[in-house]
Amino acid sequence: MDSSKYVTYTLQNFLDDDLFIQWVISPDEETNLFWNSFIEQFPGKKGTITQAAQIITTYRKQDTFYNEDRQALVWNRIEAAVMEQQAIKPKIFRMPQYLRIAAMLLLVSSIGLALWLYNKDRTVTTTYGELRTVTLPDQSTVVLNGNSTIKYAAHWEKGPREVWITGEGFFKVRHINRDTLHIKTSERFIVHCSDVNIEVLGTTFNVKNRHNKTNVGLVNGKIRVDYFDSVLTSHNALVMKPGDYIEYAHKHLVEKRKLAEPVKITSWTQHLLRFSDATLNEITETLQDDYGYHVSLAEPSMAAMRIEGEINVMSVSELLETISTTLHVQVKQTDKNITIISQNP
Amino acid sequence: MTSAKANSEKDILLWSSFKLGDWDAYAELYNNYFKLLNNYGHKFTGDLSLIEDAVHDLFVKLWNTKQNLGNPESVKNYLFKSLRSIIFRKLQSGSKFVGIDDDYSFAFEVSFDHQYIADEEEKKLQAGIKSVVQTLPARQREIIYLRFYEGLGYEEIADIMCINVNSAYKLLYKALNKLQDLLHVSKLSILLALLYGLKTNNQIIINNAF
Repeated sequence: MDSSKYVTYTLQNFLDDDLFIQWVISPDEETNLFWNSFIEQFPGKKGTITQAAQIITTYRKQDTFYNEDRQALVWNRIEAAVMEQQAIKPKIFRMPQYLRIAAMLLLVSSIGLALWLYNKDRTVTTTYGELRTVTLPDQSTVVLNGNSTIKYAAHWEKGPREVWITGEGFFKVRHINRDTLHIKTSERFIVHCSDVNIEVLGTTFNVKNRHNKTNVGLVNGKIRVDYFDSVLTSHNALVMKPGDYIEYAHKHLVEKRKLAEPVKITSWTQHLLRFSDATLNEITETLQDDYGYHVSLAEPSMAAMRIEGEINVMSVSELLETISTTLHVQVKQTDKNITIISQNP
Repeated sequence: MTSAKANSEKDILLWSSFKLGDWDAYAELYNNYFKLLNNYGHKFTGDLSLIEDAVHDLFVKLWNTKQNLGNPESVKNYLFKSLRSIIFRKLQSGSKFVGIDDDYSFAFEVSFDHQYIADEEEKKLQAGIKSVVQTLPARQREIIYLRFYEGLGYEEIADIMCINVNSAYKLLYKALNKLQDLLHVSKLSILLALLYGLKTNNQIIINNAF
């Protein structure tokens, strides 16, 4: 190795020399020998060399972040991600003989399974905050609100069209026969709630069946609600016209009124949070039922607090903002827990 | 002697086996570079989960694209460069700044009660280096790190930082100037200590010259 060029080197030159830096960072026998003999030959350079080396070694004594504690954990994540990717890509391979026989048996049994699945009842469940549109076998549709379930038979060739619902759904039912006086069995469309049955002929309406309470709002068309009234101790039927709204609770028809704007009760299908003259209790029920929040009020009396007028917001955070400013309360939120505290006790 | 520039034999072997789908080679690459990549990533951000995500993304992408990967001149360089760009992208998406390229931070941290440094004079030198490094712009700090800590050459540094080699020269030159100024203005005692206070714990320092 040629050492002559180093005779005129300044501190800065050494700090900028690849070989010099390599020696300081990872010295080995060969490089130690080279530099030591250079210093022996040119003792005048010793100060500069020492200084340069000291700068580099001192610089290198900075804090490190090796994150060793997480090394295995991050690897597990990588492994899982890679495996998942690979599972998606199908692999072509040749099966051994015994596997082929097993596959045949599997195929035969899956035909049975498929037949069974084909005729099995369909169940659709939504989680909190999830909206899903379900197309029924007759091409009618149901928009399911969060935390709701519907169940129906896979095929509706014979017998009435029947749907069981818990939670809230907005139905658009296909017309089969406009002549309501002569309805064939196969043309009937019945929605079963826990406590009432709704009989429909081509129409759009909203059903909410939660907390042993059912309310039905009719947007258009005509429906008949069959219910048992514990006060009158009799089975009753009620024909609803567009804009009608009923509430049925604890086996009793609690309310029957006309909706000013029937479309409003379906605002949830657009992911809108819409309330009019709502009490804090109604709002917390929606937050709990449809979005899965847990809401606690500092005092039970607060449930009756009412926000007059219309609330029309796109998100839960906007709704909470509205509550705190109009009711002058404090709203605290941690994840899915909401606490509402009165500001002037 | 040019070990910093060329791939180590081991890296070449690991890289080519990994490209053929050798899972063990892939794992070994990960284990060999995890610490260095974390250390480098930590210079750009204190957000530990962002660093982890970046390392995770880097390796998942490596595996998924292994058929299309070439043979980089230096595996280490390739990994550093990729990690740097992933981190920048993540930082960029998390902030409103668009032109992050000239607007990033590069940390230099030393704890002064550092256990490795027993010598008072060395501590002073370290404080001096820290004060100089802290006045440098992020790019110069990063260059010093890649040069003195990772031992990389100009071409490799230019490649990682996506600048041309000339700029890399200039940036380091400026930084070194400032370091030299520091030593010129520092007390004679420090220089004397540097000249004669050579410690045996520093294996590169010359013993047989005395």
